[in-house]
Amino acid sequence: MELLNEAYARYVVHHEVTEEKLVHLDSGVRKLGFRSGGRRIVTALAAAGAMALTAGYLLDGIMSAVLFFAGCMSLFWAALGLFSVFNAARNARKAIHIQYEKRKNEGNHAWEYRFFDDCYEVIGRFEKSRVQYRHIGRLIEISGMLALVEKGNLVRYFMKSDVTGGSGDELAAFLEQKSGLKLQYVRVRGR
Amino acid sequence: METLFAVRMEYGVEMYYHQVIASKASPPSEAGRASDEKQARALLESSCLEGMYCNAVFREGSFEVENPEIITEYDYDGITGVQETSRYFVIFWNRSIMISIEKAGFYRGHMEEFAAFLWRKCGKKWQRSLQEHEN
Repeated sequence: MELLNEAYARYVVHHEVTEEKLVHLDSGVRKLGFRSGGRRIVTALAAAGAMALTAGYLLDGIMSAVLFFAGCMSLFWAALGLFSVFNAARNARKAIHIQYEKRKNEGNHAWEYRFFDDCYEVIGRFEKSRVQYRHIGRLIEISGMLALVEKGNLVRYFMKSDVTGGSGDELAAFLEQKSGLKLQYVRVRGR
Repeated sequence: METLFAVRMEYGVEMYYHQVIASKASPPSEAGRASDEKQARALLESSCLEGMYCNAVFREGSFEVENPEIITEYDYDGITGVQETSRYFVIFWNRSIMISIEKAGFYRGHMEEFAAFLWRKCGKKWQRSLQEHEN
């Protein structure tokens, strides 16, 4: 596959994979996933638990005991849900650290992205791709990081500060226009 | 460089099912088949590639996988593992990317010669063949 002439690229990004960036990406993806479903479940459980406890407090007799028990169980499951989310994130950070340490000597951490009018190219040590903008399924900004989720669930990501040929915001607007997608925003701590 | 092998495949449940079983540490079982198929359907749905065709072309120095929206050229040195199932060769590119080569899809070169070729290119990384318990 012959690469296109770099001189015609509108934007170029030189991206170096670091453990910090991987954790940042993972945090953003998790938060997005939690926002789309988990948060509703946990909120519903917590609300149901609070209402049941209140009703149990106000009523008398067996109903009170039943509602009080149901309320406690609901709050327990809500707390368990939140704990599992935090635990999963912590385990993911450990896994990322282990994988990063294992693979850091492979010399496969430097990537280049070239954005042309009709397509973009991704160049790594062992692969190079030419991608049509319609192949992007989602566009996400994670606190200063742009993530392109391609069909097939392949994620290309880089920091907006690494963009050359224009600003990161200009590239984000360019990608929105080319892909027809709206940029989703996720805020995470750390950057 | 001369094309040695060429394969045409469709992104479908079968392809993702074989990726799911290839990615597991233990051999597939009849008991787990329904769960594996469900996982495959979920992966296919989230991929947004269902029904799309792709071509894989193998040359001595590199191989390419192309569909109407993306073309990627891969260096054999980047392969981290190979798993053979009853219908696919599953090439592990990294922890999360698998490239499936359908045995029935060869339109240039023969599947048996391809197996020998792939073994020559990355024999040390060949994990195992999953033949038992599959339909």
